[in-house]
Amino acid sequence: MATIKRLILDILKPHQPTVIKYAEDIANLDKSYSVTIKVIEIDDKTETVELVIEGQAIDFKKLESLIHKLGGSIHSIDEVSTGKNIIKHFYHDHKR
Amino acid sequence: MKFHKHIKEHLSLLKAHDIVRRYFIMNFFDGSLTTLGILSGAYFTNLNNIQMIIGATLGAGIAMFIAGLSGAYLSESAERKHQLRDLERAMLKNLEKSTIGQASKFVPIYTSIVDGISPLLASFVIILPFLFSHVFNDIDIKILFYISFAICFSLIFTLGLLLGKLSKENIFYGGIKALLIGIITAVIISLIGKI
Repeated sequence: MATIKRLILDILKPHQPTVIKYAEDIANLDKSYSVTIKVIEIDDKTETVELVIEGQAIDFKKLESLIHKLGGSIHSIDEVSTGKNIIKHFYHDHKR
Repeated sequence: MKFHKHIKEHLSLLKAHDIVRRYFIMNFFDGSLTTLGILSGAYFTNLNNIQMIIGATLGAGIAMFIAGLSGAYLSESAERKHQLRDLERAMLKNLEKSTIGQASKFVPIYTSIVDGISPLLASFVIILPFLFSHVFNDIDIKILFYISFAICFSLIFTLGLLLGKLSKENIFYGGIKALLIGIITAVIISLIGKI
């Protein structure tokens, strides 16, 4: 069965917990996870962030429930990579 | 240790460290001055009944504990609920079960406990010589008063030092300022005693 290797999510979150707490808690879900969070926009009470996560087999349900627990909302799934390898073309195009 | 980490996380989520510290200092000072007031009143009116002094001081301490506990809980929980509703409106979702929602419930409880316990603690510490008076059988009540006054002024001075350190000014200036407030209180009460 194909597993999710890489995900890019657009998330709306309150200012607290900070992106550092988000990144740490998400990375702690699985030893194989690597996480990068980039702040895209800051408003009065919220911020929009782009979450990039890579791992051996990303458990989306666990990830989603953790984001909800931290008070965030997933606005959109902007990119998914599954299968044997991450296709480099997209990887480089979207790497910011 | 885990519980301590949990408290720290909740407090930092709502940036409540400052509020808790402020509540502690403010109410500890309140408790110290109220106890000083009761003791000075008793001293200057030549009240010699140890049980009455203990009863009045601890009674006031318990009243301050309940007032602090309930007052801080009601005001803090109303404030935190209001902030959470504002955030929910911005997020367009219910945040009750999120970490910030849990922190909004926890912080008012924690702050109210700190707010209630600090004046009670101050009263209890200051009245300790009277509480242990039975240990020293023939001790003069005036000595008990002097020891309690010394404890009280030391606490007030230490609190002033702490405030001086927090404001990054001269810490001794902070201590002296707080001590002066205590001395003025005692002097005013001594005048009442002479009426």
